Amino acid sequence: MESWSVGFDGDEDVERHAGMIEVRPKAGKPRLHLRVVSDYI
Amino acid sequence: MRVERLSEEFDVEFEAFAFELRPGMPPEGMARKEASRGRVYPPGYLDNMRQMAADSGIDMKRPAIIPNTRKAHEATEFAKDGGALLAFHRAVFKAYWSDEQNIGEIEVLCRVAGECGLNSEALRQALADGRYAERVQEQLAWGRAAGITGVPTVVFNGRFAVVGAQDSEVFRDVGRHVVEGRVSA
Repeated sequence: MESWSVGFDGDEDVERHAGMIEVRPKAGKPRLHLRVVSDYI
Repeated sequence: MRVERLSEEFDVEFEAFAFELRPGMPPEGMARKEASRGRVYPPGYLDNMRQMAADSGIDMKRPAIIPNTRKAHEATEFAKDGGALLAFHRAVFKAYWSDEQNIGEIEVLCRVAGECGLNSEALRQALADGRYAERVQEQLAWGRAAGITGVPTVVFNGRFAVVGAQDSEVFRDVGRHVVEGRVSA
């Protein structure tokens, strides 16, 4: 496969353009808002 | 706190809201014997709370004084602004239940704040000024309007509430249901 990536090591943008890798968005943790209602006694 | 373990799976934003289990408590607090007179508690009613505290390294005793917690809640808001909410919250809980300190006293709160890296003199001034009084009043009003009668109550994404000191698995399961939209208010 022809590639632009000669001379680049680990550059995801270049490798993606070259069709070498499939880059998926990194899955973050789902967001959770917790309201903790409490008293100290 | 078991609920803190949710951070392992979720991007959690914690928000502490004040609640008064004994509204109208005198500023100086009340002797537990006096406060408990005429009340009947089921055997082991504190067991789950004790276990939850033990999980956090806190040995829950039975302090002789039940304090008025209004100033402690105001101090919690100070800690929130100072970026030490969780540390302060835990330290106040420990000061009362484990060290049997009267957390209704400003001196005690300032000392605990200092131990959490907060400016104890700034806290003393804020409590004297009543700087956080309105914020705490608003939280108490919200709890009353929401029908909250017991603590801890944990409200997930403003949609679902879990009452009581539950196991970590309960909080985790509810968290999953909420983020996946499998529960409704």
